[in-house]
Amino acid sequence: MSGNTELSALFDRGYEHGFVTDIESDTIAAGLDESVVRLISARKREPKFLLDWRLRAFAHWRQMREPHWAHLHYPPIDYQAISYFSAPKPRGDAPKSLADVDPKLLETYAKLGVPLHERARLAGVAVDAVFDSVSVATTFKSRLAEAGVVFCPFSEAVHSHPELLEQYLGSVVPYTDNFYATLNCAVFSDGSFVYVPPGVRCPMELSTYFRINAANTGQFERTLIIADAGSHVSYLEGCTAPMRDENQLHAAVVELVALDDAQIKYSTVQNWYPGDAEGRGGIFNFVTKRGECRGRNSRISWTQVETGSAITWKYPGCVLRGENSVGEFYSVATANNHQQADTGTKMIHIGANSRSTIVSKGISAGHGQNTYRGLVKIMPSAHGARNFTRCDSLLLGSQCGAHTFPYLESRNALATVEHEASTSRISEDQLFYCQQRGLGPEDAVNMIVSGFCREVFKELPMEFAVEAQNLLAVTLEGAVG
Amino acid sequence: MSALERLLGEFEAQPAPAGARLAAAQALRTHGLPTRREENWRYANLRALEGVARFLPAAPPAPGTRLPPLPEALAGYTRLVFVDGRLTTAWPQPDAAQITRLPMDAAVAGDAAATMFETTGDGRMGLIARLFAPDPLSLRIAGPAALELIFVTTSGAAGSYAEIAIEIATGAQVALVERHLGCAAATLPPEAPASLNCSNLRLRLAADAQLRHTRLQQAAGNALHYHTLSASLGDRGSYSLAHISAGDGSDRSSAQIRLQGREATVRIRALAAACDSGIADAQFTVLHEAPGTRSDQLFRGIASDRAHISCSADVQVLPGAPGSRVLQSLRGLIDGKGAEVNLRPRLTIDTDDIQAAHGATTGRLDEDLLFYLLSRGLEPAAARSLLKWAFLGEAFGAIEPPALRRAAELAAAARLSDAPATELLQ
Repeated sequence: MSGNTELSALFDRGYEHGFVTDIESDTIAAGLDESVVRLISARKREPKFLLDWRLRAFAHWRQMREPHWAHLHYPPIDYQAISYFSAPKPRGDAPKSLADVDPKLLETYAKLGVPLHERARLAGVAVDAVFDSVSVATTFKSRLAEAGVVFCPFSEAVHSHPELLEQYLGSVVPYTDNFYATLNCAVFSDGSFVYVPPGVRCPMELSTYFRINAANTGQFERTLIIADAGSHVSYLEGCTAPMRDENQLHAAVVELVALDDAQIKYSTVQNWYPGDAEGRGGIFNFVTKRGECRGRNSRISWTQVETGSAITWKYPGCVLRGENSVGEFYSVATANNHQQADTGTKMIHIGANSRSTIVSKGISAGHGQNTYRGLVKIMPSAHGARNFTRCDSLLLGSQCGAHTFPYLESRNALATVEHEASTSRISEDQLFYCQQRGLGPEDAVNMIVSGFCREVFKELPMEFAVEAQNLLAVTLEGAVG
Repeated sequence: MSALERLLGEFEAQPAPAGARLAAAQALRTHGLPTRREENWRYANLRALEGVARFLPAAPPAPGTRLPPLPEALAGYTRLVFVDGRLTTAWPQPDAAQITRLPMDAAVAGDAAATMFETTGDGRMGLIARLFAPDPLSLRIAGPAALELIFVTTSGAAGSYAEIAIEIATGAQVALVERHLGCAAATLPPEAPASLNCSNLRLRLAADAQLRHTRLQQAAGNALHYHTLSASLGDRGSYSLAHISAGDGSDRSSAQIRLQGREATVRIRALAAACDSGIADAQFTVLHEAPGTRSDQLFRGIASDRAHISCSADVQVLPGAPGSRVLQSLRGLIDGKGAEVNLRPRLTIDTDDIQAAHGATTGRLDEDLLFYLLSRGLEPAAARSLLKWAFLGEAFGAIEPPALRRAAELAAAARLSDAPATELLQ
């Protein structure tokens, strides 16, 4: 499969969100030591317990070595060359409403298609907008508060709900978890906090939009979502960054806690700058996402569409502690040009009759390398646990790679684990069939790829499903040659 | 002192080691044994080596030592018997006109692919066999041949090591049977320290060569068994491996098969049955290096009691191997409260002209099938046994000749919690 010029055009539309917002920023000097950790904490006026926690994490991180087991190749990261805090300079006091937010920021989000203004209520989505190291606006807070739902920037929750933070922060991803998560624990700057009280169904979709703008900075946000007994929440996450020739680091942590009968649906459309066609620039995306189904009948569902980033290292997982708890993972990951993605999930079954489903679709094109890595672990207490995994890879080009590394570990005779996977390319026969029915090559590939990913897209909320579909078409433009 | 230091110390204390052995010691010193990080998915882990009291091979058996009874000879096969790693059969054998014995050092030096395997990952375990193997055997097979290798140990107190290299000439068709009988359990006191049985088998198949290889590990006793196998295939070479792990103790086997020639094919049928606190840990790596190559891996394992079974099947399709086809099917059955099954089917694919699929399952016996059999009047034990036998059937089907298949079935049956009905073993 080579040299199909019509389809090459499809891939060359480029990255639409690569602009830079010209805004004055307060950026600390590059480098990382204890004083930087203290400085970030001081800027946020954090309570002592949080500063102590950061310092413990930093001390631990200094003892750790960067992991290299993933199927990824990238130049060494100089952690001393990164600025760990950058925020747009405030115009006077902190904004109390959207009217107080710098119009340049509002303009940026409008350009990105993110409905920050509450008049866009028809979108039915509450948004927390994170710009570099800080949250710049959160919409629909009061309406959500009427339902008892707390949705605010992490730095605000530190002051408004310290007891919840102290109870849940690091309870799913401890500060010793892994190199990148530990770094995040030490230097995280902002992120989103959600608490849904018992029995409440969150009246709207919640969303956080992460934007990296400043050069030579990293973004280290943290998200914590707690769904109390019998509650339900759906959360969407999006992200973009400017086009630059240098790599930028993004190391986030997401923790989800679902108590008895609670449900959390977490959807991501990851569209960080992937680098150019030659592999220059792009975001190094090292993310730790984990949910814990602590209660009986709780459910956590991860859906992700990973189209951006030069490097993706990400394994959203579920610890299924509660009896009858359910974990789901639906993923589409694409790697075009010189992108590399090593992504998958972990399902740890501890509770009796816990169930998990994994559906992963990987698409590799150009020189892209796409790896599915998944662990299903059945502990001795997980009587009657079940897992089903379906993992498919599609290859569009002779220079790319698709790799599948599943790990099945079962320690219970009453549990069932099933895994199946396939790897193939779009065959000439499939293309020929579509084309002889009157489809152009571009549409034919789009249709085949859409069909390949359909199982995942149908799990996305409507707004994201459309965006994801379009994004995929753009990402894979020109991949079939 | 670590196991590696003791092992090298005992090696160096031997008189004048030379050639390939010395190089093996140097390689072990340079590369070490697999580290904990590399070991993160091996269950017959190397910590057990620390418990080995003595690495040096057993002394030659005293005249008149009674050997464990050997299985009946397979018709048409040339049998070579190794006792504690020492070849006790006279060479050359009259029925082995196609087989020539070569100097081992030359065979080791001429096999770059296997040498590379021995410096990384689990291939390093084969170096231990080279250090101590008292009778390394290097053979060249020029035409049709059938060879049966029997490995017996007489003592649980010392190591048993075998190093064998076989080169199969263009177009030759060979059947190879490898049986590890270990030491008769009754001769060992239950508190005997673990002993080490280590084998290293290197196979080279020239163009159009065909090899049907059956490895039956049925050793009794509290021993550590580390088997290393490397094979490379030329154009249209065909290699069929039936691997049966049905012994006591801890069985760790690692195989790397390189499909270097166009349209070379490998077919692996592996079976593990373990009970009590036995461990069966197998790793198969297949490298597709040439166009049109095929690999087909099937694993079936039953872990009873507190046994632990794992299978890591790793296929790598390199950029120069378009038109490759890959199939992997791994299934495990857990039949005991403390039993554990771990499966890892891995695919690394660097070319787009490929068809690859794999499936893996772990679980218990299908309750619907069990109910069906019970409703037909079968006793529960017989019904369970029948289903287990059906589960293993596909792997048994690859074993030839029938007498060997029956031996494999009997060995596996001894490791199942429900003994199969006699008529299943006819």
